Amino acid sequence: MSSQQFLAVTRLAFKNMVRWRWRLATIFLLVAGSFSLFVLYSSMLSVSAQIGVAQTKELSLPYDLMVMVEEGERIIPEKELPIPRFRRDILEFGEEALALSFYTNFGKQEIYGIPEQSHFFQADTVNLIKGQWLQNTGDMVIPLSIAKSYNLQVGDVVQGYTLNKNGIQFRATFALVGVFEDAYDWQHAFILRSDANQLVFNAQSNRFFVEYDRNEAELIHLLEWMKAAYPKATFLYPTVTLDMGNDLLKQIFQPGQWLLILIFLFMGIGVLTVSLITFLERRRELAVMKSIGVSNAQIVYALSLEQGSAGLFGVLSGMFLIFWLGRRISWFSQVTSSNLSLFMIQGALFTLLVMIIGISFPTILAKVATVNQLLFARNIPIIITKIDHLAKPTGWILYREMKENLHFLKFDMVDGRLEGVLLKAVGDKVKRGEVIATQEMYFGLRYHEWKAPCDGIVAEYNPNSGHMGILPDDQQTPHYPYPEHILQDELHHQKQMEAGRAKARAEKELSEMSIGSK
Amino acid sequence: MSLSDRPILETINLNKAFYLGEAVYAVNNVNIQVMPGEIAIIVGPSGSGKSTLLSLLGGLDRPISGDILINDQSIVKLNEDQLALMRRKNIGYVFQFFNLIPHLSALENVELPMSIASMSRKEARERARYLLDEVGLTPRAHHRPDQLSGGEQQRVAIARSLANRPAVVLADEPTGNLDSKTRDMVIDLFCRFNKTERQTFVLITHDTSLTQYAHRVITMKDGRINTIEVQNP
Repeated sequence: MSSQQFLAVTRLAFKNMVRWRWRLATIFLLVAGSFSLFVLYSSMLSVSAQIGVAQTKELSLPYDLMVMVEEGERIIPEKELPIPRFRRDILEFGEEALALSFYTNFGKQEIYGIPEQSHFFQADTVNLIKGQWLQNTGDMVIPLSIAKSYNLQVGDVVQGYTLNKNGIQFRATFALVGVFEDAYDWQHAFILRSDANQLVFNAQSNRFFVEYDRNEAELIHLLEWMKAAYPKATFLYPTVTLDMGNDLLKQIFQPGQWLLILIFLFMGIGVLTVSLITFLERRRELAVMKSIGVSNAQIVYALSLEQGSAGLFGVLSGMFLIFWLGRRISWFSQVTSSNLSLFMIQGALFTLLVMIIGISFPTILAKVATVNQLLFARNIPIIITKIDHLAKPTGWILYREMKENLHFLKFDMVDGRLEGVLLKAVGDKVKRGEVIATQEMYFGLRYHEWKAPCDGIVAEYNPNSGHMGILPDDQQTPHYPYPEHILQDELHHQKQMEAGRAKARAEKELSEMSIGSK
Repeated sequence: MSLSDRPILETINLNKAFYLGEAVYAVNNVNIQVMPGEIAIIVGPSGSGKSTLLSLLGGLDRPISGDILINDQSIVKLNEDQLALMRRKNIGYVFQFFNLIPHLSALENVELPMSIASMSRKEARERARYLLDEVGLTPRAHHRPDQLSGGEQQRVAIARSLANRPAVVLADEPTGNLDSKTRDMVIDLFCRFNKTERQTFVLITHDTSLTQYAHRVITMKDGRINTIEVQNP
């Protein structure tokens, strides 16, 4: 296509867009709606998954996030945490502690060595119900559940030991100074950090507690950053109740992931229907274009440009719609930017795929149709086959072709009847390449043409099997070039048949002779 | 035989059949020749195969056997793209129902075949204006087809068919949808372009009175050629 032709067809396509604006607007709306639905729904599922899968039961904790650092993993100073500068202010408090295994006469306990001035663990926050909070070296406070289980009371002495890597024991004695209510979902005894240090020789902290100054929805972001900082660590945090209010979307999106497929199925059917209806209405216009010499490539380009533009603007508008709606949907702020980009790309790719499928069928019809098929609304076959050879040579055909040089065609028969036009009868002359029969199948989408394989005369036709034998004018016309092994197999088969017949004849003669002699 | 004595359009044993419950030959073994600068009129009753023959000549449909030569070049074995190129260069088509592109103005309709044939926009516009002037439609150049009468639309279609100076213009019942006054105007246009530009026309019609304007009258019946008469109009 030269540049002038390209410009001419582009100009024509733009004029067509104006003419068919409402159809294209329908495609635009279908794409914009489906694309934005897909991205919003995928985002919502991702948010639900992040929060719902992380915790299976609702936890109640005095902090917002605890990082359980693996042995050997360094506690990162707050300033070094990989949190974007503009979000740093969300870390209201950060606190470190040391958890250790303490073997007592009532079993192995995980006890926490907490700072003397702890924000998260103090009499007010953990609701002390008996005695006092940690004040001096050697004090221990325990939850009510442990006190009840082992019948421990304020004033009791707890003895036990810790083990180092080499199995050496470090003994310690603690005075039970307080019992606190099991208001939180974990039960640990607390000692002062300085005591804990003595038990494990000033080991580094292995617990990191955080509270942040934002709404609960921000937890997802904090969790992501912490996971980046501590890739081996496990995390404990309260379940965030995902409050979507009375969003209509929540009700619509209940069914599940299959809705994603349904969205694009809906879009595909919509685009295909609109494209097909538009094509049917434009048959005459396309016929005129073809009749004045517009090539298929130019028609395909014009149609693709028209409908592709609607699709492209649909996707772009869908993006704007997502951001506009996002501000009005409570959970949208929890969608991470990486997830959102991924869903946008996925949505755009799916849209492209659906658009290609939706547009290609009418475009192929426009491409393959002749002017008259378009002009007079005739069937437009997409699959056109021209057959001038036998697809599958069976034994007797091979035999007759080899012996008599008869060339056979086989038409597709339905109930012993040719569903098409048989243009030649027995005795008619045919020319090589001349159409002998035509057939339309599958509502006109498939078209067969059987062509004469050589110049000759129609020698025979079997209307039941659909075999037509053509006797070539030139008997020197070469036989079909069947593969050598087929010919060899057939010759072998014929020889075996002949040998069998000869044997049967000989046996018969022998038996007749023996009867005669008797 | 000199080059100009060679037929510009020729068919050799042309056949076309349709399946209407049984095989029906709409064009049956047709052999015709049209010489350069002629007006050939194909006449015959309804269903005699005239329109099918014209479609085959223009490459709008495909025969089941036989050959069609335009400027000594066979068009039967051309693929769709080659056919489009051939139509662009060699054939102008005038339909009974005008078939103008509805959202383009008369001027744009005439301009389109030239733009498609890589002519510059300026040249195409100049020739389109000239052709519209020739068919007497300069004042209506910027009107869309739905703002034109039947006769005016047909004149635009004739101007469009002549845009790329084709070897032959094929016209399918060009006066079939027009009143007698407009019909005379359209026929006058054909005769004028035939005389001034030596344009070859092949017209089909069931109106036998038009045969007086033809150099060659071909009569068809039941898909076959009945008679061919050569005359001076």
